[in-house]
Amino acid sequence: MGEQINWEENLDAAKSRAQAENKVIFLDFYNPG
Amino acid sequence: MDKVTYPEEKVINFINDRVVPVRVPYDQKPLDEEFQVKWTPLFVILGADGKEHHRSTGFLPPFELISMILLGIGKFHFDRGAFSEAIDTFSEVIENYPESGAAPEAVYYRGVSGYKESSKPEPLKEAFATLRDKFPESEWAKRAAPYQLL
Repeated sequence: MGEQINWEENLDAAKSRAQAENKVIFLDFYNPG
Repeated sequence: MDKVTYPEEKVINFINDRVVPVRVPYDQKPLDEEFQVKWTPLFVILGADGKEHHRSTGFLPPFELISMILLGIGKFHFDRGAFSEAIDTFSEVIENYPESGAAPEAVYYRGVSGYKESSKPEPLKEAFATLRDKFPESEWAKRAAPYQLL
């Protein structure tokens, strides 16, 4: 199995990571179908 | 996105290296109201404080997704007044993805960032000339038209 995108599933967790890693957040609203 | 764009190695590496990715269903409360989600896929670029800097609606192939995210990163820097970083990021879009839908807007904002950084009109004039020559039909060429008078 190859590399995958390391998705967060929670925006608050993403905010904490973004702060710690000095990055922006890429938020994807998707339709699970 | 799951079948075409996200499996691409270049996309995986770019996203994991450059942003913190988070994926939620379109109807997740309270985010659906907070971000006024009306159609999917909806992509939003946020700062660590949760403030929105850029958004895009609809499917994007790999190179368009990467260039859209770069445009959003550039606008994040622009909004916080980090004009040198903004110029570098907009230049990344223009030089690496000149055929992308994000390129004309990146040219426009690179010019504005250059003006903000230098207080000189040349970057705005250069932005207009580039848009006139390379993207004459884009809305950003129209928005930059007044800069030819500087």
